[in-house]
Amino acid sequence: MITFDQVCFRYKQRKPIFEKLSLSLTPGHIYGLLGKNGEGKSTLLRITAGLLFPNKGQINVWEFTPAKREAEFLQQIFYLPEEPYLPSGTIKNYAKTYGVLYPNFKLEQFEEAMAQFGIVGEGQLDSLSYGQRKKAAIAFALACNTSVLLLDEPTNGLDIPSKIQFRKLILSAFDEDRVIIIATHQVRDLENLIDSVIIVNQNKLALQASTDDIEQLLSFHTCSELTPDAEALYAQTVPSGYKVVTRNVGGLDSQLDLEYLFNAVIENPIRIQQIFDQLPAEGDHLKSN
Amino acid sequence: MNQSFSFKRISILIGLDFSQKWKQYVWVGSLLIGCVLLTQLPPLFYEAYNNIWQLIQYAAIPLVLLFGSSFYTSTALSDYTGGQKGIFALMIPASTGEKTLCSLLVNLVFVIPFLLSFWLLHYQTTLMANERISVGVNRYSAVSREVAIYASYCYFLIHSAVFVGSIYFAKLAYVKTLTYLLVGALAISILNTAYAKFLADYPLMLGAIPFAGWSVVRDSSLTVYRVSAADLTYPWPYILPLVVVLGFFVVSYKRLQEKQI
Repeated sequence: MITFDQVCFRYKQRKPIFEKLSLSLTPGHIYGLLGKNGEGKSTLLRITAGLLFPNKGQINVWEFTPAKREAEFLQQIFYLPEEPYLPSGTIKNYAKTYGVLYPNFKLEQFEEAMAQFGIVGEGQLDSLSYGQRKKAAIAFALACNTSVLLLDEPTNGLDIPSKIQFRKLILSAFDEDRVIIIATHQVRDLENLIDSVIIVNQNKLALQASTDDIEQLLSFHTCSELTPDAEALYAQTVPSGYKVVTRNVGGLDSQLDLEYLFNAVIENPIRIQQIFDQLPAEGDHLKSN
Repeated sequence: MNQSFSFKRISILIGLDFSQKWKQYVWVGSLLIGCVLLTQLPPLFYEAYNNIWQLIQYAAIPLVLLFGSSFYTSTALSDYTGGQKGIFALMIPASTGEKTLCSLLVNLVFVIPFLLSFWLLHYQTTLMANERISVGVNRYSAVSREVAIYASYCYFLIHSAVFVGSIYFAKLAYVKTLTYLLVGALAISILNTAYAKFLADYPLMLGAIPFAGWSVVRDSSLTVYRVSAADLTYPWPYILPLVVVLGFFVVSYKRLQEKQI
């Protein structure tokens, strides 16, 4: 369980990134963390990992305070930055030597993931391309089997087949005791992978909801004309007319489109909040700040 | 390994440190050992006293032993200062105490033997070189025991300050640390001398080295009076530098604890 309680954060001599951010993330979910550039996606992950300390507020990650960076806490969390550093040496040696420090690390799982990514385990890490290094880092992150896995733009630098492999690996490594948070701009890479969405906007949590709840409350569809009574939360011209996001009044089935959802939340934060306020207090829901 | 302090984890960290930095350690270590040999051994190859070799032997104390060797320490905690490497290092599952202790142990494993080897070589080469020189002419002289002790204290003070600098400064850590260290040492020395002059009622000349006694020349007779530390303050010149050294190590730990990337 990860909880943020009234967390404020700002970098020195810069505008606040978060003001009174409250958030609750439960095990058994894969969260997609979305936000515009500079809205604090990476910062949120780093605060969770204990790499940055909040100016105010409390953060609790599995009963640990991240800022203390205790060994037991670090054994239970893995943060993979957008451009991960890998030490020198062979891939296999890296996995063996660093994996020892994670109690749930499985070398076979690492080797299997590397094989799926098409990387041979005897190569030198220094000689790998950017994409290959990223794959090695993802494979290691998954093999550590930590309770919390924080991935910052994990699919950047991956080719299309590797993105598919990435999704498969995440789903195979996922279980009910883990929390996985994936921050990305590549929303298409998250489709059919995440089950909850977090959107940060203007120093606040703009939306936290499960994909089921979003599909229940919002409708993503295409229409030939855009009439005012449609009350579109977001609309964009497409060859066949308009693709719109509206309130799902009739309980229609529609496929969640993360890109449209994101734009709707950014353009109409108050209306989105009003819609999601009707969700029950338990479980994934919108937290008003 | 579910405990805040684990020797097993520290041993793993030490292994990882050597596996990542062994080339750097070998390179810097070899360079330092080479400099020591070059500055201390030449008197052994001549049967007559040579003033230049004697001066080089002395010059090696500040240049190689004190400042040159501190370059080895300048990367002790540099992995944690920033960037992707910093994130990687901070996220390694070990406590801040374990990480600091690992860097300290890896550092001391070289620093202490290097100091002992330097003095051993310095005294032994002087002894052996003098055996080859005829009696009655100039002979080599090793530094006195007091100077060796004083230099050894300075050695640990400099190394501990550079140890802090390696986590305190993200860029040009060694240059910045030495600059602050020299400015600080100069300021302390000036203050110490000014205070000694005030207490000695402004004599004709006065030399006062921090943590050591004074040499006072009162008048034109140029008689040098040696003023030792009073009995009451006797242990402090030895204890205080040790406290400062330990203080620097604690500051390193605190700095690593509060490091944010």
